[in-house]
Amino acid sequence: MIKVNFFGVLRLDYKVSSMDVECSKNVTELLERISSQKSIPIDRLISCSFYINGKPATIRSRVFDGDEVMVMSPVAGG
Amino acid sequence: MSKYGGYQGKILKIDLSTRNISDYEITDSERELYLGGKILAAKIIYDNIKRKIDAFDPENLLVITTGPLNGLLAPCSSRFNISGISPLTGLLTSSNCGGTFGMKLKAAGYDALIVTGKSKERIYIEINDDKVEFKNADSLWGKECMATQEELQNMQANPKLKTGKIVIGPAGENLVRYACILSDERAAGRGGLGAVMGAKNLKAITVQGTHKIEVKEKEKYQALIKKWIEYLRKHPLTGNQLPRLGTAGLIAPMQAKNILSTKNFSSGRFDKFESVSGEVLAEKYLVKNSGCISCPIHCTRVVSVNGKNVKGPELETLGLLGPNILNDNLEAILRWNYLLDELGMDTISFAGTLSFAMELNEKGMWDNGLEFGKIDKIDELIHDVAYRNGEVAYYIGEGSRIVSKKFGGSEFAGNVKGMELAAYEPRAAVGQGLGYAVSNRGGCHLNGGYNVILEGLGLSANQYTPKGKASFTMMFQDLMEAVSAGGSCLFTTYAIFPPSLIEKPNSKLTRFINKAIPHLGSAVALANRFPGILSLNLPTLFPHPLAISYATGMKLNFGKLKRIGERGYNLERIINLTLGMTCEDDSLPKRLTDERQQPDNKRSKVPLKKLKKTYYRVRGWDKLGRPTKSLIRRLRLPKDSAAQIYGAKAN
Repeated sequence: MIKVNFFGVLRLDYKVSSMDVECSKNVTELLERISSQKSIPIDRLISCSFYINGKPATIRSRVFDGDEVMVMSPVAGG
Repeated sequence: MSKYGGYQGKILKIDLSTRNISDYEITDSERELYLGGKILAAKIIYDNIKRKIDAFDPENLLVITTGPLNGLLAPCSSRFNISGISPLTGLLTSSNCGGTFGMKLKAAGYDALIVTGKSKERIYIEINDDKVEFKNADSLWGKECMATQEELQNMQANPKLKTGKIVIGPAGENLVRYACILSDERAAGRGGLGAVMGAKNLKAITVQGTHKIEVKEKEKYQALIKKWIEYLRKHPLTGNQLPRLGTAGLIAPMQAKNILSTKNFSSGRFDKFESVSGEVLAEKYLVKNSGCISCPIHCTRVVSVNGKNVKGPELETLGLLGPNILNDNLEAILRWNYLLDELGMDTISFAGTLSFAMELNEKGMWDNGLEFGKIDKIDELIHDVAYRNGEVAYYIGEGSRIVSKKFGGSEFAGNVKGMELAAYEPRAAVGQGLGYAVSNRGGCHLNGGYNVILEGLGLSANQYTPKGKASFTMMFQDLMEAVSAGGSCLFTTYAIFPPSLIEKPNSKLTRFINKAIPHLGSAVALANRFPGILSLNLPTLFPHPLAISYATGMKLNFGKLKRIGERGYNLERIINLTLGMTCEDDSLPKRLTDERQQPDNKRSKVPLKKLKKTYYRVRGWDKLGRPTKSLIRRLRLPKDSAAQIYGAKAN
């Protein structure tokens, strides 16, 4: 099971702060599953930044059981 | 008078010692060179303070300036500036505020207000167009900021007609070195000018007027403003992120990038960061968002504290009163933010001094009872600091530099030149580290150039390389200086990033730009040196010069506005050098330059020596960080300024 935490306006748009997702492949598959479970357009998810266990990741990065993934829609400036 | 639109052509000078009221003359040539806001204020201070003085000396000036766009309904243009010598740094400080005072000052017929001297009695000043009155403030003294403003409003001849106000709270009265000045619920927060008002026995100034402001090319101006507002409303940062998450939305990306100052700048990550994030703030506590007058962005968080709707915390406050003291109680931060505003204190400097005191206590260097993560007595401490009750509170009211002189620990005292750092941990954003170090007003993220927007918050250029960072620091410092002088909020500059770069961080183009940024240093340095090659206008991405041109009748473009910013930045530097600052003061606490933030990442510290050397070179400063004589000539800075910093023989 992968724990996914959401940040940025995406989290407000879809009212989802975190969820557990079954996935053993990569971030792309993880996003597809999130997309189907939460009805979030896949394009919206792919434009986010990803961090696996605190480290920067890409859509090709592998995920493993027990990982914690941060999905963050683009933000800037303060 | 001025031939230019956008100005009222009049500056009011008030001497509190003599109660003399006079006009302060500046020429249109000076308006062309110094524009307004913090740059015009620097020119006035340069012309009037030629030697080192104490911030509490009656000779210190409070210079309140507007910019040409103030009062003309350009987006986010209610901003006004207050400058003077800071009690915290002993150097020039400037603080920007979004309250209505600036617009009202202009409506009263003045572009700026200079206050000098010291009143024998506690007073406030009431300005109604040409009528200036000194009024007894005994009944207001001791009152908190909002209560003071309410009472001042009720004392107006027509209480229903909102008057512009600046006020101080008990902290300013009691000379807390980072006391701020409030206008409405907005603060001129940084640098301690509230204490300068307190030292002058000046509780408040109110202003009201009936003057109109001329716009030279009205139709063009109005069309541009309309498009500008539409663009800001559509842009992903100014139209979506900032209205919905406020600046607080940066907590999560700062955590992701190791930029979130934690435990007194000893780390860039906080395990419980989510509890104090903008997302949780929006989900659990946000009543609504709001903004300053004429602002289409509306980044302010309105939250409920004790059943009352009040202004919520900004990112800096959340970071520094959250992770930096190991606190994950967001409700407490909302309350402290409100208390600090009411008592009139800068949240950043209070929090930075607090985290430093906690570490001193932890290390056994100062037995003060303050512990990381222990928050039950902080409400009481905030009150005690404002009223200077007890030794611990007294020293915390002096700021971290004075505390470090008394108890040691300067290597981990989070300040630059005496002003506490903002919430960005610079070891994972080394360009921001350079900016902090060289910033004219001390540990300020904005005056430092806000390089962090390229290093992880917006774009994702390499956070750890010094390459290219000095040139970008100078470019951004100059642009922000000029935008502020024009009267606009700095948040309007975020729209300079095309939406696609922000919305698509993983696109090939964005990734290419991120990789290219460090290699663009030479090109940016060239543009810094020859801003004439930037003689263009970007009416959508950066409409500021065009808006000022239409309003005033000046002929500005990107390059010319940037040059005005450069002039301002150098003039501020010259003032600081006159006040005794040296290149040694362009420094960071040793923790940030000598200790790795991440043990396995040898680049996770600020290579300040290297960055500074390049920065001085691109700025055209000598090895001691002084603007060279040729630069002074090129920027048309005051002719005697070389003599000010090099000695009488310089000319």
